[in-house]
Amino acid sequence: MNQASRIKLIAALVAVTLTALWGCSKRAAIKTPAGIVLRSQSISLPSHGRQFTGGAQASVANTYCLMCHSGGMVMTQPPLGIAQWQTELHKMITTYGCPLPVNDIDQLAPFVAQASQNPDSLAAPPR
Amino acid sequence: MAERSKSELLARRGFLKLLGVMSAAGVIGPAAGAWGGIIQMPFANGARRVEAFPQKRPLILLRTRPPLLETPMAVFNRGVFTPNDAFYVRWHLADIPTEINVDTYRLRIFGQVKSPMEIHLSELVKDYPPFEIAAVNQCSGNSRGFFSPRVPGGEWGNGAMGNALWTGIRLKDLLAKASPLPNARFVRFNGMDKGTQPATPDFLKTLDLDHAMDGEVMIAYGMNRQPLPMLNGFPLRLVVPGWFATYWVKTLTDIEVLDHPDENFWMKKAYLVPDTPHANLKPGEDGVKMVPISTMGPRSFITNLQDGATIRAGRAASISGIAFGGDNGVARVMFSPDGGRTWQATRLDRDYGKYSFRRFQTEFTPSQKGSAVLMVRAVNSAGVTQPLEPNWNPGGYARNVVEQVRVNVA
Repeated sequence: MNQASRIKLIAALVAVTLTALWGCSKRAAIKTPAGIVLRSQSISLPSHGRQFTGGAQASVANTYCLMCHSGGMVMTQPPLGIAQWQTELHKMITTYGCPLPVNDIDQLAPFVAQASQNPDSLAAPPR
Repeated sequence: MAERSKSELLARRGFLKLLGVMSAAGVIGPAAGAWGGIIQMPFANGARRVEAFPQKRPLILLRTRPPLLETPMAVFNRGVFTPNDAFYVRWHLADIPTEINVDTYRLRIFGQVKSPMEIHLSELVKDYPPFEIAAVNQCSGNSRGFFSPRVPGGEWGNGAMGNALWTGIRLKDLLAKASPLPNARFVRFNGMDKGTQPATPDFLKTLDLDHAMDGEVMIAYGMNRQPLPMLNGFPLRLVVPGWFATYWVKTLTDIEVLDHPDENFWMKKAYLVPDTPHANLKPGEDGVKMVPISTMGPRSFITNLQDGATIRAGRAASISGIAFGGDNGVARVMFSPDGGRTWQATRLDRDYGKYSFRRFQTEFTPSQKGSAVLMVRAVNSAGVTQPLEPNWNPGGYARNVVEQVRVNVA
């Protein structure tokens, strides 16, 4: 063992000892050799309550699209043609397991194609 | 003395410019709660809310759930490392961890190994030698919004990237302890994120065993000498220096050693690029071999001047920014004041290692009034340079064209 690794070992031992001592007074704090302390944490994510508006297809979009992602995913898409949206919706069903009935694609694609380019088509739900 | 006052002046100017950038970039409206402004990205449907998420300053919001948050370019003008609270965020699946108990968190290593292990965080940090590396984390789809023709996906500007000093342990040390069996060939990584639908493929990524054992691939518990923000993968994230971020699995819980190639969706079907120079093909082109995305190419950005900025004719203008070499260090960064007709060398600032951002700077004195196109072009230590023409592929991946900044010379 060279001097550098001996120093590292000592540093690690000191860290472990300090961690053990610290652990007596407070649980859930892990001190790393680099001095970074890992503590339990939790966060609350912002709400994603905005919904599509404007008729029956809005309600289909709210039911199925918003299962896995907020409406912003649709609203930030570039202008895509209806055929491209049909491809995307097929992908959501076959690849990502969205339970959207395949028969709904033909009606939903024109709606999201249009809605994605119109900021007013996504709004906070009425309280 | 002259140098010092100049740099002070630049620092002050930098701050004023930052304010300028915000207005130039179209940040509208005063702070309401977590700011709540709007920023206009320079492409169709590019209006973005600016919002603060937990442990994050206000960032460019692409999607609330699961979060896609982009770092504003102004952040990159302020240093070589990207602050944790400004670091971009990208999750694939809606069920992301929002609570971590460091007492109960475990990392499992299993599969084709002699000694499967389940490691507590405290063992991980004390039983393996600490390792540190500066490395750029860049989303495969960074800059997708600039693709022409446009492609669907996360419509990022250039801010789905960041540079951090990562602290943790080498994956090699951990795998060696588990002792891969002779038939071991690949290593697959899983984190805590999950889909909301049973049929949604779990997010798993796989590296060759040789790559995993290269001594650079690591498991990070520190980011810029702090714990990782929850949204960047606290408490553990895989770091794969030089490779696109899709491999940098967050909230890492499972390491599975495989004896066969991984056929899961996220390796076999997603994140594929054409096996061509610069991952480039023609829109509509068929029959091109597709391969999993891997290493990054070099990129560079002028960060002290934005599109539409005004500089003075007959006066020296300072140009500075960031560059990275991808899977190799930055060898040099060239600057063109005239849309690529002539190029001059820039000075490189301190080197934090081959995978890090590196700052560059230079000066030039424009002689003619009118508009000018400024460009920078990085060359990495393997001699790879940025292309002058943008690439295109259907996934919107691996853009690294030479960037242009249009300025007015007055």
